[in-house]
Amino acid sequence: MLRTEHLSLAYGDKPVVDNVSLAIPEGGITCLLGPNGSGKSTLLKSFAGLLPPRSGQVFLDNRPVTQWDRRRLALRLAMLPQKPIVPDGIRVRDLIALGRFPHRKWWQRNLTTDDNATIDAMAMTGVSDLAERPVEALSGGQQQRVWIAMALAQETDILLLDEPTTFLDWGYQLEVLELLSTLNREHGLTVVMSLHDLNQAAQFADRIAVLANGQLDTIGSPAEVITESLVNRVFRVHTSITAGREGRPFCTGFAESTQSRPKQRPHCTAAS
Amino acid sequence: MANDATLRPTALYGATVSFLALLFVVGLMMGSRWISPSQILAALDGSSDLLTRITVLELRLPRNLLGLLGGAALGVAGAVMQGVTRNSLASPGLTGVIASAALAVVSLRTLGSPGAMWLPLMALGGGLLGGALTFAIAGRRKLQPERVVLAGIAVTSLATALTTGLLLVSGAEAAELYYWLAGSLMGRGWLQLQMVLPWLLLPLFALLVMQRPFRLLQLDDDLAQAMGLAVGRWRLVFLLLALLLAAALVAFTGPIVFIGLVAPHIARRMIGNQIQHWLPLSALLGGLLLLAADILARQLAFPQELPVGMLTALIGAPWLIYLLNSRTSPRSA
Amino acid sequence: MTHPATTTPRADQRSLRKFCTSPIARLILAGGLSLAIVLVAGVQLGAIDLSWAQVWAGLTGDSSEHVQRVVFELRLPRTLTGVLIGIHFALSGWLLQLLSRNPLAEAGILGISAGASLVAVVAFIIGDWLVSSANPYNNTSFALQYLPLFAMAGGLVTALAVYFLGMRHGHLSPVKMTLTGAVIAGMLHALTTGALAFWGHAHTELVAQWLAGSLYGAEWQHLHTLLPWTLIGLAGVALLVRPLEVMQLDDEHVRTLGLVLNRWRAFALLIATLLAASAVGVVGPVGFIGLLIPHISRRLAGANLPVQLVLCVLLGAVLAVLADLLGRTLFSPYEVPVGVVSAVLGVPFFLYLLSRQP
Repeated sequence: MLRTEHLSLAYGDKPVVDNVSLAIPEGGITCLLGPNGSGKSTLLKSFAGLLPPRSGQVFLDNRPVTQWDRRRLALRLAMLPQKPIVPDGIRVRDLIALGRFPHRKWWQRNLTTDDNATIDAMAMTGVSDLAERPVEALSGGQQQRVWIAMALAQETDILLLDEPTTFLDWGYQLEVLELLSTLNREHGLTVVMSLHDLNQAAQFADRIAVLANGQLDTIGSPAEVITESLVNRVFRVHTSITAGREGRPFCTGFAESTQSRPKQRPHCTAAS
Repeated sequence: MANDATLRPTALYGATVSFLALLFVVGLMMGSRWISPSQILAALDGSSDLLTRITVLELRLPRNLLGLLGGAALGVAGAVMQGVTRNSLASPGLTGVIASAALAVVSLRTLGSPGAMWLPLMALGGGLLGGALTFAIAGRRKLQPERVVLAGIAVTSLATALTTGLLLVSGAEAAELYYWLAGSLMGRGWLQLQMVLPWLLLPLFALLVMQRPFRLLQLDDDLAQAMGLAVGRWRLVFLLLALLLAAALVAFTGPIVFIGLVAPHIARRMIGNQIQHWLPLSALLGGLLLLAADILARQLAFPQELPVGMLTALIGAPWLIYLLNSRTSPRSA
Repeated sequence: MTHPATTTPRADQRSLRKFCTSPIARLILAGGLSLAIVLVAGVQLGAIDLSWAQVWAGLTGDSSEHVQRVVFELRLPRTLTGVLIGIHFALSGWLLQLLSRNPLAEAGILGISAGASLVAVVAFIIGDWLVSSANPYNNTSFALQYLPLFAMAGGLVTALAVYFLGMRHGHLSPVKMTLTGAVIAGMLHALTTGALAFWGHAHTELVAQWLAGSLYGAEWQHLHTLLPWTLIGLAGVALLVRPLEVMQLDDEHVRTLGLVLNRWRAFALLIATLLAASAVGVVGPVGFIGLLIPHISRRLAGANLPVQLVLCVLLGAVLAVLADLLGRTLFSPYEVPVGVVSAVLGVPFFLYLLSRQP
């Protein structure tokens, strides 16, 4: 359904993504990994049709994304940007209700179906009892759940998230990732997100696409992708890979300059 | 980037000073009557006719000097403000100082008939209030350069509204005040120059002496404090000096905007990293710009004179827009 | 997605009743009441104070010719024009603040008022020059009729310039737009002052009055000129409410919700410009109403945009009429223009508002 063919993206003269061809599997969680500046955010934006390609195309249902009518596109995919703006003083319920915008003509007010979708979205993300509170007063994790609820209220098949965990405390990070996992499992939501943390990607993704210098390095299941050689090549980190929960790979790394083996330190595999 | 345009200081100073001298002479030559350089020399040593001597010595010479010094004052004021607030958009015009100073002067002249010596003081008071108001409105978001400018714009609007209102009750003086509000060097002679001189020279001298704290303040606050600088206090001192320069000039010429913004920018482009030359070069360029604008003001609508403030706005505004378009962020380069 | 069956059979009725007793309704009612009071005061008070009975008699044609004239030809049109310009400036400021994501924005600050003023002043000067007959009264009525149109042309051109110069990477950058607007405003203001100073004519006083933003001499003619634009503006704003709700989010987010951002921003700018520039054309640039009223309505209405809109309309009218009233009565027989009074009232109140913010 969502795929790219020889996609190249640039900001002005600066090329950011170079000749990337990949397909996003329907109904799965796909994770974009890569060092800073590898083009993850840019790629996600192009999926949402926010950046016209320099060359190549992004296809949704075999039609180029840039040719889709904005509103129709908004009914198929929702995107959560990295640092979203919270309108002053807005309550949780009203913010989530904004997600219903593509479902009505722009002059219409929300109808009962819209209100129901909002209520459902709040229930799915567990923020129902926060409905009347101002969004600004919530914790980082709660806010992120509200944003996800807004994307859910949009009732799309695909959800794109740009680094949804980067600014959160560890506990909240896991809360959000487990929520996405549940939504994927129980409601068939296709999730595409960019992450920084390799272990989180390994733990939660069905497929991982690794980007380096704007090019697609590897794509595959976590076990296929998270290997010592890849991590070394792309991230310049020496790792030792062990089996984590559910047999997924888990890496412990150390920087290149260190010669000696690391001491035995405790490490945590977490469940929130 | 700025480094590409770095030139050797001696070459820079040499070029600027020569250009400045040239403009100064041109300013002496041009006007309602064309006076040739030989006639100027004759006027200076007393061997010309009376009219020429009066024109050169009593009209054009003090006017040009005022333009030179005033422009220098504005250029330095702008550079100081930009330097100590680390905000490349800070300038007497954009932080509401000039408009408030003008308001104070207009109020004084409308509501009473003050001696000319009170004008700089009133202007200073007004400018102080306006500047303080701007920074108060910008509040905690002072660290974002745009916020200060936005607040300054609001304060300028307010001052302008009040000024316009005052003009309505000024009766017979209205036309004269209108012209004054457009900013002009017309009719400014030795008297005005004498009165404004101490207000300009003292701060300039003080700033010359305070070069080191100034340089430190352009770094990070915490860093400067770690080097033993009482950051808050020094910043206040510098801002007050800049205020004094701008407000005192406004008291005598009316509001002249954009020079305090443009001169430091051009100076920065020219000197790159050699920031020790920033203040002197801003002074020179400021003087140059104001002189040039004044010459144009005298000639463009010959035989009448355009207000010089109008010209600086006409030149400065497009330049500033170009600036906004060529950078990605208005933070100091 | 499945969800539990909805159990509110008469949801519309319940919500309507809930609305009527809600604090929002009370706010709107209070606003409407203040407007009514101020309107009545505006007609009653002035150089001559009229009693209720006299006003009523004047309206029904049942009184002396003098009273009738005061009520009908002076007070009523002036007060009603005040209502309209209050609405214009308040709504324009509200739109511009939302559009530029800057709570300190308004038409004067973005240069639209300055552009409108400049063109109007130039038109006035040229008109004065063309009709160089000795009769000053002829000149003024000629120019005044067409001033709003010239002003709007000036405002629109300025708005276009600010819009296009405010673009970054092909999308409108609110910060850049505000800064560009301020620079252009400064330039146009200098040009206007320069033009006036240069012209140095005896009519300076008339233009000075206008430039201060004044309702002096407002007649039915002004009202008729302005009213169509009020209606157009209100219609435009009503259309914009829902898109504006979404436009509060950041640009990319808005686009992914299906809104064609550039188009809507252009439309919002157009409506804001029409409102501000038409008002400037009739009474001159009045600052501060557009700056202050949106702040107050945001404080009172919270994040509810439709209610903010209604409050802007009501409170904008109240402030304009009140400012004019105070200007007329406080220093009688001198008149302080609306623009100045609103500025003087506005500043301390504005500072108070800002000090309460986090």
